[in-house]
Amino acid sequence: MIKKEWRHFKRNRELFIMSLPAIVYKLLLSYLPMLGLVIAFKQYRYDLGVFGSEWVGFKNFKFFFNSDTALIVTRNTILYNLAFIVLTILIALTLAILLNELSRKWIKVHQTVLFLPYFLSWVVVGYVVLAFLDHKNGFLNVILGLFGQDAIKWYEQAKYWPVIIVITQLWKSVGFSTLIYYAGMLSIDSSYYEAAKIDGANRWQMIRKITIPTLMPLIVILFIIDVGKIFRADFGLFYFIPNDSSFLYSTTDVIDTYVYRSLRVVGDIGMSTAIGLYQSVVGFILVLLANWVVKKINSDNALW
Amino acid sequence: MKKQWLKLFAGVISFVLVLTACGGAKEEQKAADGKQNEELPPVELVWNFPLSAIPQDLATVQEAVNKITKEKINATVKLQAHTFADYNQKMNTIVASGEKYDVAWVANWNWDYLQNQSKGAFLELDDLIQQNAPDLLKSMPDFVWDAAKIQGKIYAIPNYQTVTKKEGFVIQKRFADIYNLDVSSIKKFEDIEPFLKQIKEGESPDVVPFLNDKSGRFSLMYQSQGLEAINNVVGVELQNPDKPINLFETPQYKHYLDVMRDWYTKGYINENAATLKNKNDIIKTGNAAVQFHNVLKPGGEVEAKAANGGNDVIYVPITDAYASTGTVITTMQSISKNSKNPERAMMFINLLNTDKELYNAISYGVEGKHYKKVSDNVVQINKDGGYAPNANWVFGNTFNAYLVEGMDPSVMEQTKKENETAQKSPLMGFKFDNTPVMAEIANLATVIDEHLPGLDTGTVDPNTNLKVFQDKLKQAGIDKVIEEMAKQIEAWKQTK
Amino acid sequence: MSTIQVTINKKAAKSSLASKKSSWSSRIINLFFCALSILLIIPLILVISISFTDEKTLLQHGYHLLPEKFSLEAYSLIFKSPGVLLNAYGITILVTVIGTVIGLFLTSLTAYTISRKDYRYRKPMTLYVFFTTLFSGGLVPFYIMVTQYLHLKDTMWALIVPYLLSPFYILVMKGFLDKIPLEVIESGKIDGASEWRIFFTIVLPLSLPALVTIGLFISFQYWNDWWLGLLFIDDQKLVPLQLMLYRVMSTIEYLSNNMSTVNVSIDMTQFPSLSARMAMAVLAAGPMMIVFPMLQRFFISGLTVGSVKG
Repeated sequence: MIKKEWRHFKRNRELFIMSLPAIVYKLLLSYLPMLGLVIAFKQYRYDLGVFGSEWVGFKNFKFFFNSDTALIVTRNTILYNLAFIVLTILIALTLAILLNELSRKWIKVHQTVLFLPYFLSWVVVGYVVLAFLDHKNGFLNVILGLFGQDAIKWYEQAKYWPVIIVITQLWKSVGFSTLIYYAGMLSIDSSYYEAAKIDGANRWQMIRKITIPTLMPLIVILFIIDVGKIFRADFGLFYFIPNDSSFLYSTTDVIDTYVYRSLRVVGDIGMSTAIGLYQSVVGFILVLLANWVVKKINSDNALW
Repeated sequence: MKKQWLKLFAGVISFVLVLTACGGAKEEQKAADGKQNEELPPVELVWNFPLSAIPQDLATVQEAVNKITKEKINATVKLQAHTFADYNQKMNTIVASGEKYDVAWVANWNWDYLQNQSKGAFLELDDLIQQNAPDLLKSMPDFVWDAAKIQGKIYAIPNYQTVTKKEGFVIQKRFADIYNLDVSSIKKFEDIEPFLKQIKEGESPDVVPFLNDKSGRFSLMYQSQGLEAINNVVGVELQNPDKPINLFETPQYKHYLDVMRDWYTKGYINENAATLKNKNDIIKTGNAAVQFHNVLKPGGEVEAKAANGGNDVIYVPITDAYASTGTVITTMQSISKNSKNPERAMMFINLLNTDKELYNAISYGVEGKHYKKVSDNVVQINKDGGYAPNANWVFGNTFNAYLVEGMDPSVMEQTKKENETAQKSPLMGFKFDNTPVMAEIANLATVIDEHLPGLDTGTVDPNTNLKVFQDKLKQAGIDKVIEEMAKQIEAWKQTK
Repeated sequence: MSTIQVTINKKAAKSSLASKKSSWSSRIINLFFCALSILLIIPLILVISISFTDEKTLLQHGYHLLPEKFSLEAYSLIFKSPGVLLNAYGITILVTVIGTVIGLFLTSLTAYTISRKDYRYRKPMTLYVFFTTLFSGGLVPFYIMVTQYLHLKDTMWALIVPYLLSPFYILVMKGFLDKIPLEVIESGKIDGASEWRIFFTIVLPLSLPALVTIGLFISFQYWNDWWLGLLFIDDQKLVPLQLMLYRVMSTIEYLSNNMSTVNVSIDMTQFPSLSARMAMAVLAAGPMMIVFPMLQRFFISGLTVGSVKG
C-alpha cells in the first residue's frame, strides 16, 4: 500500500516539487496563522497570550446572534452578493464577447476605460458618489430640478440604495471580470471558429457552442470563489459609499460594517475573530455545496 | 520527504509556542529594582505615540532627544510616530502580538486606556513612580492622579494640560457685532434662539445659523444639563451621583430634542446635519455662525480663528470650568507589560514631564532648523522645517513648553488656575470596566449609531422616534449595563 | 521540442470570432462602448476637476465637471516637498516590479501543477489553495508570523511577500491553463523534456495573454496597497505611495468623527483640503493609467497554438 503510493509519488515528484513553494508559503502565511482562530472561543487577554487566555465557549458570538439586526445585515449581505455575482457574470461576459467583435485599435481604448475605475479607492469613489447625490449641489438633484422635480435627500432615503450600491460596485469592478473573460477568449484556438464557419454557423451559434463552453471552467472558478465569499462584504463599498449615514442602515448595512460599528467601542479581537470564523464556516459549506452541484452537472468543471 | 514534514512540524510547534508566550513576559520587572544609584547600563527604549501626520524629519529630532536622554539616563529612545487614525489599530496589533515596546501614549478617545488595561496591556506604575520619579507626583494636582487610577492603581501618567471643560457657544464675531448680541443674556443653550432667528432672516442662505452634525450636540452639554456621562449611554445626575441612569431617558434629553426639532424645522440648523461627518468643511468657510462646544479653554479663541477661515470668533461660556475623569485622561503615557526596562521607561516619562529641554526638543524639534527663538521663552515655528507636530499635549507636561509666537503669555497661568479651581466631579477616578457586559455595549453602539444622528439634529420628529430609540436601547440590554455600573460604583466607593 | 510549433499569429487571433469586415453591427457595438466609456469616465473627470478647483469655491458651490475656479494650489502644496513623494513613488514602483515578477512566476507555477489533469495531487492541492480564500486566522497571528518569524518588519519584503501567492489569481490562472491540451505536454514528455523545461518552454509561451492578465492584476494589487505598509512599515523611507494617500484620508475621517468632545487641540487647518486629497488620488492612480494601455498590446496580439505534429 505505502509502496504503491510511493511509486505514485515518484512519478509525480517533479510536479510536486513545483507546487512545493506554494505548499510552504500557504502553510506559513495562511495555515499556521489559522491556529489563532481559537481566539474566537477565548476571553483574550494580552498578558496571558492566545493559549493562556480563558475559554469562554460561544460567548464571543453572542453579541451578533442576540441582536435582531443580525438577520437584516445577513440578508443584506447575501442579497447584495447574489446580485453582484449574477450581474457581474452576465455583464462581464457580454462585454467581453462584444469586445471580441471589435477591431484592434478600439479594443485598446474601450478596455482601458472599462478598467479605469478600478484604480480609485473606495474613499475617493465615496466623494464621487457624493458629488452626484449631494442634496444641495449634487448632479442628480440639479438634473431633477431641470425637469421640475423636487430634490431628493438621497442620503436619507434607504429605498434607493440597493440600486446605487449595485451600480457603484459594477461600475468599479466589472472591467476586472471583463478582462479575465476576454483574456480567456484570446486563448481559444481560432481553428474551432474557422471549422464552425465552414459548417455555416452564425455568430450567435458560435458564441453559444464554442465561446461559452470553453469559458465555462473559468466562469465556474470565479463563481465558486464568489460563493465562498457570499457572507463577506467589501467593507469599503458599504461603509464609504453610503457615507455611514444612519438613515440607510436598513438597506446598506452588511455583516462587515455592522461588526465594525459594534466593536468600535469595545474593540475585542475575540469577538471580531468569532464573526470572521462564522463567515468562513458558512462560506465553506456553501462552496462545498456549489462544487458538488457543479460536479453533478459536469464533473470536468468542478474544482475538486 | 520525511525531513520536510519534520521541519514543518517543528515550525508548527515553535509557532504555537510563540502564540502561547506572546505577551507573557512577567518576570523581568523585578530584576532591576534598587539599581537606582548604580551605574545604569545603556538601553534602547521604544516609544509609540500618535500625531496628525508623521513628521518628515523625525530622525533629526530623535537624535536631539537621544543626546539628552543618553546623558541623563543613559538610554536612547526610538520614536515611533503613528497617525491618530492608525493609532488604535496599530497599537492593538502590537500589543496583541506581544511585540516589544516600552512606552506608549494612551487616552480615553483613542486606543482606550480602560479597555487595554483590563486586557492586561499595561504595567502598574505606583512603585515605579515612587522609586524613579518622585518629582512627578508633585508636578500635578492630586485629582489628576485620582483620575488616572484604575481600581486604586496608576497605569498611566497623564500629560498635564487643560484638564477641564467648559460648555458654551462659539460665535462669529462679525454677526455678534451686526446684531448687537448681548452675551450676558445667554445662560442656557436655548437663550441663543433669538440670535439664530436674526441670522436666519438677515444673512445669506450660505450662512448656517446653528451648526450641527451627525454626532449631535447633546453629548457636549451634559454639564449644563446637570449630568455627567460615564460612557456613551449611561451617566448620572450630578445631584445624585450614585445612581447611574440612561442618558437618553432623561427629561433633559427630551427637552433638548424638542428644541433641536424646533430649530431644524425653522431652518436654523444645517439641513445635512444628520449625515454630516466633517463639519470642518463648513467651519472653514467661516459660515458657521453659532456652534456649541464643550471645551472653551483659555486662549482658545485664537486657535479657533484659524479653523474658522480667519474669521474672529467669540466664546460665550454657559458653565464654569469642570473636571472629571473623562476630561483628565485624554492624553497619557503608559508602560508596556512587556517592557524589558520599565524603570528606565519611567525615568524617561519623568524627564518628559520635568525636563524642559527634552520636552521642548520633542515638542518643537531642533532650534535653528525647526524653530527659532524670538525671545527667551518664545519660539517661532518653521512650518517647512519638516517637524511641526503642533501637539505639545501628546508628549508631556504642557506647562513646560515654550510659548509659540502670537500666543498670549497669560494663557498658561489662566489654564493652570482653571485646572486648580475647577469644580470636580463627584465620580472623579471612577472607571467602568465593561468586560462583563461587552455584548450589550456592542449592541448599544449600533442602536445609537442608527438613531442618534436623526434625533439629535432635529431631522426626525422626537415625538414618534424617541420612544423607538429608547425601546431599542432596552432590547439591546441597557438595563444590564446600568445594573453592572451601579455595582461597580458601589464597589468603587468602598475603596475610596 | 521541435514538435511543437507556437505561432504568434496576430491575424489568426484577431479572426477569433469574426473576420472583421467593419460591418454595421460592429459599428453599433462600437457606439455602445463609446457611450459606456463616457459613463465610466465622467466620475474620473470629476476627481481630476476637483483637484484643480479652488478650495473655497468647492466648499461653497460643490463639485463641477469643469473647475469653476481653476487653481493649482493643491498640486503645488503636494510638490512643495517633492522628496517624500518621489521616494514613495520609488518604493511603490520597486515593490510592484519585484512583487509582480516573483508573484507571477510562483502563481503560474502553482496554477500549472493543479491544471495538469494527470497530476496525482491535483485535487487535494486545489482544495489546499482554495481553503485559504475562506479561512484566515485573523490579523494578529498573521502579524506575529510576519514580524516574529519571518522578521520582515520594516523591510521592503513585508510589502511584497504577503501578496506573492493569492489563491484567487492561482485559481484564475488555472482556469486559463486548463485550456492547454494535454497532448501538447505529452509530446514534450516524449521528447524527454523535464517538467520544468516543459513549463518554461511550452506552457509559459502558450499562455502569454493569461500571464499578462494575471501579471496586471498582481501589479495592481501591489500598486494599490496601503494595508501592508500600515501594518509593517514604521521606517518613513519605506512608505509606499498609497499609504501616504491613505493616511491623509483616514486622519481627516478620524478626526472629524472623534474630536468633537475631547479637550485636546488639533489644528484642523493643517490638513489637506478636499482638492489636495483628490490631487493625491490622481497622482496615486495616474501612472498605472498610463502603464495599462501600454501593456495592452499583449492582449491584442493573441497567441495561437499551431499544429501539434508528432
